[in-house]
Amino acid sequence: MSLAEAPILEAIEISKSYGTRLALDNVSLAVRPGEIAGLLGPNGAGKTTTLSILATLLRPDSGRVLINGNPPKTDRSGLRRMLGLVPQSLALYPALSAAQNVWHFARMQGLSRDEAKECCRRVLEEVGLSDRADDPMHAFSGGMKRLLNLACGIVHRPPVLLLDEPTVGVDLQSREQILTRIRHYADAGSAVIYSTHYMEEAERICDRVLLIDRGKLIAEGDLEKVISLGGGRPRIELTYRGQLPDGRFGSLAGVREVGAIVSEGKAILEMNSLAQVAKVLHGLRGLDVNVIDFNLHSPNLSDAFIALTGHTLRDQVL
Amino acid sequence: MLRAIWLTAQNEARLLVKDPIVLFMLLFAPVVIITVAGYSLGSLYGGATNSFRLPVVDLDHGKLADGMIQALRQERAVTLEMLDDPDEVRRLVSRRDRTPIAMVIPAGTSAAVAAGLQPRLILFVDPVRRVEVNALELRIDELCRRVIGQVRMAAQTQIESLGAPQALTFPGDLGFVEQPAVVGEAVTVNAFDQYVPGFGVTFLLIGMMLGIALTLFDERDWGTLKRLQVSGAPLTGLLLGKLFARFIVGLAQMVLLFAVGWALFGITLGRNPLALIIPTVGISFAAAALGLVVASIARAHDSVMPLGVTISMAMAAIGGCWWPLDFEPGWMRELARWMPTTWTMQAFNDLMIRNQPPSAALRPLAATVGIGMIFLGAGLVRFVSLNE
Repeated sequence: MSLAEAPILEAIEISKSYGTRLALDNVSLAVRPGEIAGLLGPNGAGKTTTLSILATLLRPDSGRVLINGNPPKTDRSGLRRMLGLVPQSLALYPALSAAQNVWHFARMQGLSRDEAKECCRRVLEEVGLSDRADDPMHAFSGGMKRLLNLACGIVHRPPVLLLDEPTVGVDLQSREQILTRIRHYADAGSAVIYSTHYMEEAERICDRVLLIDRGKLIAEGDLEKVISLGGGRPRIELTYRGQLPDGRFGSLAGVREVGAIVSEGKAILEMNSLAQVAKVLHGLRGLDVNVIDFNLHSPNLSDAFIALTGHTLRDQVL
Repeated sequence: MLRAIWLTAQNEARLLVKDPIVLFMLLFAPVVIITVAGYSLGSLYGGATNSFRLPVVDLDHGKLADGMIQALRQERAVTLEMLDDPDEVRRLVSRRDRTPIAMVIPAGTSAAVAAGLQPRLILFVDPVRRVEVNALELRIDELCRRVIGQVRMAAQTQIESLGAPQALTFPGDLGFVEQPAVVGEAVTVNAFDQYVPGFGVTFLLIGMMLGIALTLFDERDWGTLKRLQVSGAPLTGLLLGKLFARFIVGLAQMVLLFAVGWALFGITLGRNPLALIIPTVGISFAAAALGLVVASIARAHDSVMPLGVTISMAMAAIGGCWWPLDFEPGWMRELARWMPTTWTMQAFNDLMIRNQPPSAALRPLAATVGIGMIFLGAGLVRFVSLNE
């Protein structure tokens, strides 16, 4: 991916209200080929509204969307075919088999019979459902349904893939498969917008994240940049035996105590960087603190989100 | 135990009040059907209704014919219409609303009665409207008896005043004979000739309403509709494709019903059984389009069933699928002109019972398709505006 490359999908200052509730407030974003942009926010933050507008399913009250540099109204059908949508709900026909589901969406995307046949075979193989191709979708496990949901969205190899919480309710193995497939897909040159409230997923596969809260875009950039916007620093959680020295940890340079349960022999120290860990542990030994266990915690998106919004990613915004 | 019963009952009441669909089914739907049935069948129980039109041709011009005509003029159930041509009155029957029967008083009727014979009035009847025909024939029979009674009383007085009964002939009797309005058709019908198309159309409507509206809500709930929209396919194309599939199912459903009706109940398929496809095409199209209208006005999946069933049943009832259209009050018959069911039943009756050629179904087809186009336009505009 090259940042110099023009965005293939762009939203410019879009706003959307439902009645008196402002769902999106002047949001701008762009995604380029080969890039996975994570749209991260709690439930009700405006992620699905953003995706619906990007997918041209919903008209913004103001602002505009450009697909490959063009507004959708110039060639709605043609530009829509550049998109692949994997909705949060299982957008599948329960009574149809996996192959029939994929086939239907492939044909609707404009693929010829031969192309559709080949694409169906390929995509089912990619998501690991080849051996269940003829089984009805309703007989699938939750994870398999999610994989099929993904397959139907990528069967025509769209240059832009819009994913709305594609791993909700799936087991770890299926989640792993889905994330791997998405990463491969982006590596092959497609632009991906990945909406989720799982910060671990965003940290794992996204090249860039956009934090959205209460309809506003509150931070945007690569992972390090957004995490740093939260102002968080690495922490070490100590479990120790014995008495703490007078003045506690004040004598350790670059270290600040941010919490402690003295009766349980626990303390949390904040450092300037993870590089200080060895120095801190050494210093503690010098203070006669007998450390029996410690955990390191690097600041992450969740910390940044809390710092920027005052609430957690899992909180529901209503 | 009592506490459990009481609390459960309270909660049930709470749930009931919160469920508008159940309330709709409990209150509104029966009220609609009762209203339609009440107005339609009110005349059966003596309720006020518009009178039937009775074309009469008097070829007799005698005293007895005058008496009959005077008596008919005073009859509230009919509005008399005097004409000269027997062929014209024959044509009016079955071709015009509120005219299930026409009467011809043959030349020489008065003289024949005076001569002690038993002449017969000719009644041209529409077998499709057998119930109305029977009701009117009862009234005509009563009038014949009354008029003959008056004639006989006059004759008796005359005999007594002359004192020579053997010099006069005592008046004969007056009756009537039925003839089909259309040459070649029967004057009575197999009840299944009415019920098979009538209930077939009813269930076609219900099936279409639920089939189309429910599946559209399913697609919306599943998210497949959105996914298909993003595929670049125009929403109008998706909707028309769905309607087309259901239209074919509707055709197959009606064809099967007619086959079963013919095999099991011996229904008449008319001059050309293939012609029955004409009204079937019309009603399948209109019903499919109406299903789209229901999908576009129902607020949720759960509202489709009560809304669809109520509309289907009301439309079937008003359109004459369950009982003769002539039972209905004037305003309801006017309303019926805007129902595809009315035109479809007219076409089925013409083809099956009145033994008309296929061309008789073309005008009803045009009307049904026209109404269907209005439904289709309204359904498409609303559904697309809600979902695009």
